Amino acid sequence: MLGNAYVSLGEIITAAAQELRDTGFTHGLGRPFYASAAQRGLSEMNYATNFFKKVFIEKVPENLILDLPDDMTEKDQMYLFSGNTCNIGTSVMLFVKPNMWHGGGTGYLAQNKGRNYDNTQFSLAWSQAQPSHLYFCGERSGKLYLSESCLRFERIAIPYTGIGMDCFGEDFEVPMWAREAITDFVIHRVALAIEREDPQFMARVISRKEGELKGNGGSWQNAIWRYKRSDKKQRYETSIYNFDFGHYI
Amino acid sequence: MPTWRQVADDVLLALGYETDDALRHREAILYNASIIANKLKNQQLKKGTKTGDELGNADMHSTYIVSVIHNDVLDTVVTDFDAAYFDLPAPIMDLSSGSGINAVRYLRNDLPEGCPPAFARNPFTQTTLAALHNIYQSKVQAPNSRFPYMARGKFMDKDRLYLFGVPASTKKLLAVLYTASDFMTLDLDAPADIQPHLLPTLKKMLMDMEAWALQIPQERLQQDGRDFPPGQIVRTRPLMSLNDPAQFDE
Repeated sequence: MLGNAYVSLGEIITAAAQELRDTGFTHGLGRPFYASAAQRGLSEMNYATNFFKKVFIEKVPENLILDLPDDMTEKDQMYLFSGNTCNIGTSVMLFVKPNMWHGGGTGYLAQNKGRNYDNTQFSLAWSQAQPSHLYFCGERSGKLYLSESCLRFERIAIPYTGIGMDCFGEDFEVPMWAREAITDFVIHRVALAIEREDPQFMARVISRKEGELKGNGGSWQNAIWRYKRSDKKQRYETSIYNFDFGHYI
Repeated sequence: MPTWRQVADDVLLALGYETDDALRHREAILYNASIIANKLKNQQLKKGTKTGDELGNADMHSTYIVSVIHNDVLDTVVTDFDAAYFDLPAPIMDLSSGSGINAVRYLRNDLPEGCPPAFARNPFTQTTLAALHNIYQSKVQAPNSRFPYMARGKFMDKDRLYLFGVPASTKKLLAVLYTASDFMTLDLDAPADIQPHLLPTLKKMLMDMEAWALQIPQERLQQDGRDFPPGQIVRTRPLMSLNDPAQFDE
């Protein structure tokens, strides 16, 4: 489920500091630590739900080596296309070929090797040419090593999951469905950091927040459940897929 | 709130020194009273920090407008790392986590209507000079104008706060401090700078200190090196309860 409701980082930090009775940020770590904890919490939530959707569009480089964006945590898919339209006729899928790499010139190294072939890979014999309409790439160290066939297209589009926020180091927003979870995450991390100052109180805070973050029915599980559940439209469409797909209604 | 003179007179009266030949004088009592006031304020502030009740101690805040100095070449420490600073305008209480400095904020008096007041602007985070390296390693937490930092350090006789992440255009800051007694400027006619409910405890501790001070010369009247005559009973300080406020540190 995608929601458009967000709360500011300030909203999260204010509530967290109030629960810890640290509204003046006088316990030594200050507001930057709260912001850092919130950022870490949002990144964790992003790994759990893949909520932060982005799209990367770039020209196919002449040397066929493409730098991926540095905030990519998971790819949804990869497409090649030309011009400004990317409909079903003008776009193709780009596949990932394991262990493929090249130095920017022609050809490439990969796991399929002529006569000592690996039949889990495409090439079954050394003389077999790749089929037309097969576009593939290797992936290594944040770069894509595209096959020469990709040069038939102008651009590449990659819908992907980011890190939970646009700019690392800047203020960010928190989705409303994750508000309580991120607030609890921040309180837990701050309490851990300042536990030595007031061990009795902080131990209770830590224990309560671990219940919220790890337990069933806690704020963290609740947030994941909220994100992953279908909204009414999705439920309605699922019933259409199940009962009517491929038939005239 | 009584003045320190009233407090001193009250103690002199209780000790029976009502005339000009009193062995203890108001100035000496004021010195002891200031030492005790610092201790009691420290206890009170620590209690507030521990219980999260900062509102209860809000009347102990002292607010200042301080001038920021940017990279003063006379300060050899500053020129090494290009920091701005200001000197603390008063002695402050020695509290855990540096909370004697309650808050530092950017000062702007010409904020448009509807903007949060200057006190609500970005809080300065307190750290140490040694911790700065670690903080600068974090992109999220590194000092900048949104997340300004301050680190305390002595420079000669100055109690200095070095500032990090503060724009060069910043000329003035607001500072909220828990101030301690300044022994260089004790004033008998100043109001006793202590919460009213601490006055009885202050009086009790002050009486103890004064009575003790009065005992010492009487026991050592022979100043010829022989000290006490044989058999003289040496008086010691009265036993003190573990629950006496003087015993509390936290």
